[in-house]
Amino acid sequence: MEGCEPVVLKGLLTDWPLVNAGRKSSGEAIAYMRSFDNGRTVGAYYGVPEIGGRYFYNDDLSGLNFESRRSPLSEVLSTIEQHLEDDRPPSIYVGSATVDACLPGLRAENDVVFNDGMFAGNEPLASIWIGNRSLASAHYDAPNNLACCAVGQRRYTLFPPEQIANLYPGPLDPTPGGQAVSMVNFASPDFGKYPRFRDAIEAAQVADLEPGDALFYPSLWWHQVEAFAPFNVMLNYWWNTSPKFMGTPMNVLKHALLTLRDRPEHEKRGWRQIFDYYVFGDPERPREHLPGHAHGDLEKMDEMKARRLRAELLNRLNR
Amino acid sequence: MTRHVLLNNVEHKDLKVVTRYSAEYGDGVHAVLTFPTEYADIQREYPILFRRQGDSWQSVVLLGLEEGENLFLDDGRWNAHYVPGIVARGPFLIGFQRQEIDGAERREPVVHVDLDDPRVNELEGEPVFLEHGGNTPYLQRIAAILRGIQEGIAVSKPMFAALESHGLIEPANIEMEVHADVRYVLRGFHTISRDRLAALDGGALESLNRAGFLEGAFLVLASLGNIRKLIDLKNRRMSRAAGARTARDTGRKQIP
Repeated sequence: MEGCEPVVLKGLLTDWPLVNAGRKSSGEAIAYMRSFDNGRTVGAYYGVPEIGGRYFYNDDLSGLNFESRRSPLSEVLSTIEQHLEDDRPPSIYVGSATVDACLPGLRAENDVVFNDGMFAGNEPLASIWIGNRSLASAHYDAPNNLACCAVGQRRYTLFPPEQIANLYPGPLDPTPGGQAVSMVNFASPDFGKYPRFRDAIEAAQVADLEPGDALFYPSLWWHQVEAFAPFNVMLNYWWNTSPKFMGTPMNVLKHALLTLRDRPEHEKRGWRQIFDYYVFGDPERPREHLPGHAHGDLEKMDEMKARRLRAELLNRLNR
Repeated sequence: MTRHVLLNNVEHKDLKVVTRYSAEYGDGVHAVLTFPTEYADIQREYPILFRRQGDSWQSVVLLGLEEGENLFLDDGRWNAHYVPGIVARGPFLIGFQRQEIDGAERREPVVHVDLDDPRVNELEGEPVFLEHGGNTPYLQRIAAILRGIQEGIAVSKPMFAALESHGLIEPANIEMEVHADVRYVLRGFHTISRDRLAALDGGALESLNRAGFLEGAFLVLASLGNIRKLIDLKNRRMSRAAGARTARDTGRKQIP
């Protein structure tokens, strides 16, 4: 994590009962998961066989190429089970369902221990991803990620954050899964339309995971995720290392689109200097020449300062 | 006719709402719903009564003595310090939106508006949104009122169940003599039994108090004193009407 690089942790989960059930057969893994099912509904994606599990936009970007609806998890498992032998099954996928909400007890037997100091106050969120063949186009997530391949084979294609422009992100809204995704079809890239993708390929790293393998990748790394088996299950853990009062920088980005992007070029250049000075640069610089009592918001944020600043922002935004 | 839609600051950016009260806006009613969350405000000015609706109980505020009579309504104004939430919310109502939060689905309350309500327009009244799309203080007040109603609906059912289980609900026989020859009898309402409330033992009082319902029971009882106020308002209105009639009959100018 300190190296800011992805790492494969081969065989980290070999003692998970879910991994062992899946090694015997998909049916065993499904039966094992059913033993924890509490009947809750989960958000499920349904696509026609023609999309081949690539959950994406429709051809003219006016919508998505799949349907999203709440379904009982048992129903999702049954539908996948019915089509295990199909060459061209309908695409079914459950993404980022909170494990403890839909399969309580599963983590008592299938879990990773997070006991480093950085997890104090930043308990990882454990989610489960279930489906037949699937492809989630490259996107980034804000937290750090430990992806645990429990059943089936998964391939991650990873890019460092600075590759954003070479990956040609799609619309901010709507998105197939909550985050903007690369418009490039990695299986047959249209280099005429996306020439810079050649540079992204140079920076790409590929991780092939077998059941029982885990993959760590740092926050904000772009990742395309493919699952190849007729039945695939992945558990993942997301965690931040920043205090919760900070909120998501996506709000800052949206606010910047609102207030900064369309200003005259010289003003934008000026604001870039100001942001570098106060936000992106060394936080000591704006305060080191001032006496402590005059630091105000230049001082490191804490819960109470954050509350005051939030109230001020809420007030000013409401106009 | 009603046309309920999700309120939003794009389609409804210039929306204004007339905040006058009037019979033409549906305010000419002798009783409206109220909720335990506003009993404390209501009981200072109005009688609170219970009413059976199907197989559940409702609390209502009594505003007049006969069908369609609202004694607090006076020339576009509402003559009280506190206007019941169900009236003060104007053309707004609570809708629900399915939202996914942390992988689980929740029904989140959102503000809806009835676009066919005669108070809704773009020319006069309180603006709903600020110049750049923020929420006006008016809308913030409406949102707080709707939240109160929503919380009130949620606590009503357990409150009535608790009151019933302690046998505290009894029919209210309300007879009023407004004038020597004008009497009103209100039927169909219920209230708290003062005798049974006084006879509750310590355990019953404690459990009602812990659930937060004991205060409500006393507030409802206290509110009944406001029936006297309704009679006064009615009397004043009748003598005003009689005065106007006399003035008309004799051709004299009415002296207020």
